Amino acid sequence: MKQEVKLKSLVLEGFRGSLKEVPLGLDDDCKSLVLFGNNGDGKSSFSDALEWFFTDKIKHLEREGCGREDYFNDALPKTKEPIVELSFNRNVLDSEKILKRAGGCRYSNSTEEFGKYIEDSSKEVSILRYHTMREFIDKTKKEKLEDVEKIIGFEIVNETRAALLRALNGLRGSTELAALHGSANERGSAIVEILGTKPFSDADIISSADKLRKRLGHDKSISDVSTLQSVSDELDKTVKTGEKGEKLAWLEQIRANVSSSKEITNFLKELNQVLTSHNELATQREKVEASALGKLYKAGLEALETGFAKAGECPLCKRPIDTEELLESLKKEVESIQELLEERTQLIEQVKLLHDRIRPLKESLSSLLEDKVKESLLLPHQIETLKSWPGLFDQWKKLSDKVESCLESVAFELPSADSQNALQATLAQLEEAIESKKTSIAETEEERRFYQDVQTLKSLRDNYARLRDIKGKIRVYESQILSLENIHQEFERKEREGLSKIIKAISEDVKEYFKFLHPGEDFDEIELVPPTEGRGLEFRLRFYGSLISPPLKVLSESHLNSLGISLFLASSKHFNKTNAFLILDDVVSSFDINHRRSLARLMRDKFQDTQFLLFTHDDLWFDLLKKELQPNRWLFKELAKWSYENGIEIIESPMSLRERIQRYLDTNDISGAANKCRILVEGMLKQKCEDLGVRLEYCSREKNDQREASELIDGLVAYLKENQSLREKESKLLFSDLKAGQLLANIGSHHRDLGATSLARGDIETILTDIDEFEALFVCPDCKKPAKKSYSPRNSKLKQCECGKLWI
Amino acid sequence: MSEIQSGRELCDQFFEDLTKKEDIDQKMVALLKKLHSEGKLTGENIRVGLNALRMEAENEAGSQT
Repeated sequence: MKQEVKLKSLVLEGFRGSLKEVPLGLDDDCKSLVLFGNNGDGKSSFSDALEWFFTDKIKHLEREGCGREDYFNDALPKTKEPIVELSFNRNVLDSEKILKRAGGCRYSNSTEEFGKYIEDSSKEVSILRYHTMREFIDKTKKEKLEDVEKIIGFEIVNETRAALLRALNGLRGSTELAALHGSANERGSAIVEILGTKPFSDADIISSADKLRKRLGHDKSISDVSTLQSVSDELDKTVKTGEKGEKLAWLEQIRANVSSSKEITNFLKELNQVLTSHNELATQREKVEASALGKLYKAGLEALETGFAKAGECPLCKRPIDTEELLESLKKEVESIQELLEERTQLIEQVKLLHDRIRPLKESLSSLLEDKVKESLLLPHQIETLKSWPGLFDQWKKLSDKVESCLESVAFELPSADSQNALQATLAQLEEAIESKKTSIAETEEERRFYQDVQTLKSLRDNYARLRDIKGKIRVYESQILSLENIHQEFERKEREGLSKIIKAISEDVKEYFKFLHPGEDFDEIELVPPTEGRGLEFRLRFYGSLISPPLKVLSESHLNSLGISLFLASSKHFNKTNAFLILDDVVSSFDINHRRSLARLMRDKFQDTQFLLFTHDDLWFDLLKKELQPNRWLFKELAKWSYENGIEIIESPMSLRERIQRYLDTNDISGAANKCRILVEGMLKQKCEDLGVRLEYCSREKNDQREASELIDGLVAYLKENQSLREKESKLLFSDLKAGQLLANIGSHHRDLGATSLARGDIETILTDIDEFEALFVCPDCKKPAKKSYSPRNSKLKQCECGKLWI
Repeated sequence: MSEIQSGRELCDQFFEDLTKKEDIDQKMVALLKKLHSEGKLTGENIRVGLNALRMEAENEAGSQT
């Protein structure tokens, strides 16, 4: 499905302003539509219905605190449920959507294809409303980027980048990796001690081992790790078979246990760090609560996002709240909980590693208290020092179990520094006693050296084997880090490239559409650009040679709205890949007549394959669209006055503004006729002023578009007077000053009262006649075209008609 | 216009392209690609997956020696 889905009809019943079934047919060939209706007659019910059909919510109503209960027409019998029915150029997608009174909603189409269509459509932005048109322009740079990312579906890119970075940071800061590095250093230090050189290579170890082998008289040379292993094993076996060797092996085992027991200081340091971090995490009350509420927050978020929760009300505590704000805050909360949980996961990992070290440590230390050791190697005070330790391991095990099982603060007191120093001193003394014992076992220097060399070779073998194993693990880690770094960098590059292409494409289209809406105006180089620092986006444009950003500095209200429309059209062109229809709900209120015409032509010329549903309460815009847009591609409909009893009603053949005035007169609604007459007069005067290039006093922004008829008349009179002599020279088809003056005076005297009920039917009819005569003064009887700037030479004071026979 | 990609398309293509890069660990790429396609690409899931890959690598290294 590539931008091919168009609407064939839209039927509302009981939804928002509609009560009875209201079919809005768009013909079998899915024509575009202009729907006229006064404010309050129900135009927006159609855009609301479309938004709800695809997204389950109506965002602008949510912001006002309205929820699904406000989607029900109040007059709809309680036995009935609101229905929105859409039919498309692809019949397989036709469906009703029923708003269930019991909660939720139901589509009549349950096919997989329709489900996919709804999912795709819900991601597209197809509706532009007047009050949301400027939202993007007015947002901060960061919000603009977030909006663009949302429109283009870049949220998944943000999530992916964040996940990759999180995993990368997890690898870099892994406690296991830190522990591996620590162990590697220990093994390295032991090897350095044996070799007596630093740094060392694998070849150094093998060479040193082979030297030892020669000294020991073993005939098999050591050339790699495997031969080191076998030679050392053989020598070890030989030694153990003798009585002395057995004793030495036992002493060596005790020495190894002493060496392991020395690790207790590092262990306690790490345990202290983990328990402190755990208690810090646990004592941060809000974080603990957030952790417990994580699932609840997620459920609340889901309820709000799927529209099941009442808008304007917190789904948890039921207090009134801004739904959008709540959504944002819940998202942040869930994110923060995610971070908290990751922090806790890291902590648990550290605890598990410590937990695994408790048993071997306890066993090493306990082995030093065996009778044989006590009898032959320890003094009474040393035994006393050692005795106090093994029992502590059980306490630490319980502590680590508790930390692992729940996030509650734990009370702990680890052995003091003095106590730890006393232990280390005892272990050092024990090592000395072992060495002394070993020396005494060997009767000769040669014998002593032999046993020493066998032991050194064994130690070299064990440390080397362990170091290789640890280095292998580190290599795997580092390889993962490197790969993930490359992937993360590559992803960021891809993201920048993708975003830049998108921004460039949008900018090019925004520029094209904006210039189309404002031809001949000195705006150039309109583009979205990232800020010099941080993440974000901002519009920038060249205005009379200077680069301006943000555009708010120089653009009028009307221009800013044009920018909003241009951005909407550009993004829909690029990112609406399913639906080929767009809804513009009352978006031209602040546009002057020329820009309205430009917008009509922009839709007509640049969006030939797009189906527009254009809603307006503006009579002049409606009339103009009827003139500008091809009747074979566009339908024009009108809404009757809305009533509680009937709801929305469609008039299939709407009238022009003049016809509407006549209808008011026919029903003796002079006030209504006068009001429309005022709109007609103002529209006609604005048109003439623009056609002739009448100079008016400067007004900023929207004031320029809200000039009163009197000001326009004054400007027009000044123009006519200024150019009177010139007209005499240029053409014989000029109207007389007297006639123009009388007409203007007549309109001028009446316009102040237009809209007031004091006017009589005759007054309105006179004004209509005056308008006809007045308009005729500006139209060439030959070519039937009015005099206007576009037909005239550049800088010409007088303006001519198309054929050049009329000059004004 | 054809060059422009949505976020999903960009991610899909990114992970697909990674499979062609020889200088990047393809087991890791397969893991990330799988998590992405299942909509489960989170920091935690990647961490768990990488742990498993490391164990696998260690076992392989162990069986070779």
